[in-house]
Amino acid sequence: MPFRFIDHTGDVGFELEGGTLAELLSEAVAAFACTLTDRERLGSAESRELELAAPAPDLLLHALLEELLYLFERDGFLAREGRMELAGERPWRLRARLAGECRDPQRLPLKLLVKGITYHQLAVAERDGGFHGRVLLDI
Amino acid sequence: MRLERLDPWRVRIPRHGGMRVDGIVYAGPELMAEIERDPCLEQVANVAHLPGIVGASLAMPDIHWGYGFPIGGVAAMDAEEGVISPGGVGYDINCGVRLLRSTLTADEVRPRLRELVAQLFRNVPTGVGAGRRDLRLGRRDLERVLARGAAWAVGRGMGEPDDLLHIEEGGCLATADPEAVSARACERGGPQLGTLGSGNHFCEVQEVEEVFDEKAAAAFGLARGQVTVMLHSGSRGLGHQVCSDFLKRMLDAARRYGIALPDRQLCCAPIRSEEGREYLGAMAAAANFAFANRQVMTHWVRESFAAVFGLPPARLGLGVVYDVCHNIAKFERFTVAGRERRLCVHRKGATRAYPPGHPQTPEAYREAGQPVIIPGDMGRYSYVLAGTERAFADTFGSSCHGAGRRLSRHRAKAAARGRDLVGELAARGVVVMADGMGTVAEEMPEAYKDVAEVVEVVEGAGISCRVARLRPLGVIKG
Repeated sequence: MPFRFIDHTGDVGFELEGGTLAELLSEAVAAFACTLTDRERLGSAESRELELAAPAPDLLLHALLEELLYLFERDGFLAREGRMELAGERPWRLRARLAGECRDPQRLPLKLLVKGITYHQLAVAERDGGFHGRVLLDI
Repeated sequence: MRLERLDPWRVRIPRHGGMRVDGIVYAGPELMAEIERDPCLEQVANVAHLPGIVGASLAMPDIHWGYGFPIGGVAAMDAEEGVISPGGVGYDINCGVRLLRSTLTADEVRPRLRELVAQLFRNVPTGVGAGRRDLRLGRRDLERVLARGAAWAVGRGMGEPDDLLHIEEGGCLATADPEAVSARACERGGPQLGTLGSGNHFCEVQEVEEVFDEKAAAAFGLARGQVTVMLHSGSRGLGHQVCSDFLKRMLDAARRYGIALPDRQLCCAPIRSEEGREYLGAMAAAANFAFANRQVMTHWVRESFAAVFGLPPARLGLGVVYDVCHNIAKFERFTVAGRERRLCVHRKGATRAYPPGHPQTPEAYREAGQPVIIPGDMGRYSYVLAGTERAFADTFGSSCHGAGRRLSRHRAKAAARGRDLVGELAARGVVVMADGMGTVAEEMPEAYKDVAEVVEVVEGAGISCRVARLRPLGVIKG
């Protein structure tokens, strides 16, 4: 599994892996969906597009997760997967095409609510020919 | 990390590296052994790096690993030279607890307990999504909520003027600046006014199981066998977004002001800077949203009791004992090294615990001290304590805020696998209704420290006194 949950006393987090930064960010979409609900039952008929920029890869990961949280809180939209296109570095620019659905509470029970995406131990690093990330969410 | 035990209740983390002051952790030997297994002590030391910190970086006995600040952390910053850190308040700005007392006894409530819990579950929205259809706010209304806090709800008929006398700061931080709250925060949180939320938030029907201090209990209107209601909730998505918005700004600000951070989540700005002032205005507005949130839910709790017992709310009592903030930064005055100073006290998972006689302690409690409401877990008990002079002198008028987690949510769920937790709690006489069974598993009693052990420390250290113990009868959760 290219992401795994971190055992945090009060909150929740995940570690991510990807051959490229784009792959790592796609995994972040999947990990976020798995944090909130049963991703296997999540549809992908609806889409959203995001354009984000950040001064560093870890902050790009943070910005992406904040947008996912906002879309969920505002519209109930949960992305099942995302196609990521990176366009430029410093700042790092991302175009994300998200596929998911606005959650039907009867069909898709929620596992937990996320309050925020923290900067505590937030990291994205390139090593061993791939990208590794870590992020903690406040719940 | 080197630790020095100061006395049976306190351990010192001596100043080292970039720490500006010592760390002081309130914990006896047994709790300390648990705390040392958690990365939270490093967080106590990290907070001690912040510019303008006064006295010590403090941790209450319910401390556990947070993000940036530990949960259970208290840090007072000099109002002129110090910094304000949104991470030192947390995402759930003014998450807090309110306690209501009723005229009913547990024996009167028990036969209709299931019906009462079901009525509360219908009336008080839990979990995700928007709240009740009969409470929809326009932008102007929301601005009034942000400016006036609990008084807005009382003005709309959701409560009594007397309620406001028994809320920290009277249920309104006058420094609120609604214009500093982003459109995104309003969009995210506006529809959530009057909702409990999820996670460790709850509404609990309780019985006063034991009274430790008859005089203080009488002042708080509490007596053995009486039914109380405890509400735990905060500023919902609105506060969460305010925190997110300002963390981003403070990351830049910290760099510009040359503030070295051992953890980016501690990002901050000078209190007197533009960023600092704007955050304080937005934070106060979010705190007011939380005060209003608990006030609205109080109204629906009263309506639920009235519907089930067929009595008008006035006959049921349900007056506010007190309402305390757990996640907040406020300007307060303390004497430090013989000099009175105005300090910005960050409480991240800690409760204000003001002593008898303090002008901010409500008139009715002037002799007893400020009520300090400490939720435990949904299977065992919670406590009502009173603030002390010692807390005012040693901890910037602060005490613990709860039991503190012992198990991660993942480990709690693993421990709950195959068990009928609702059935187990029912066998203990506790009726539980929740949006999802996952929350019940994550929040099961074993996931928390025994709050009695936490309370033993704060009483032993003299920073709060036990007044009463409350036993859960029924709980609703998101």
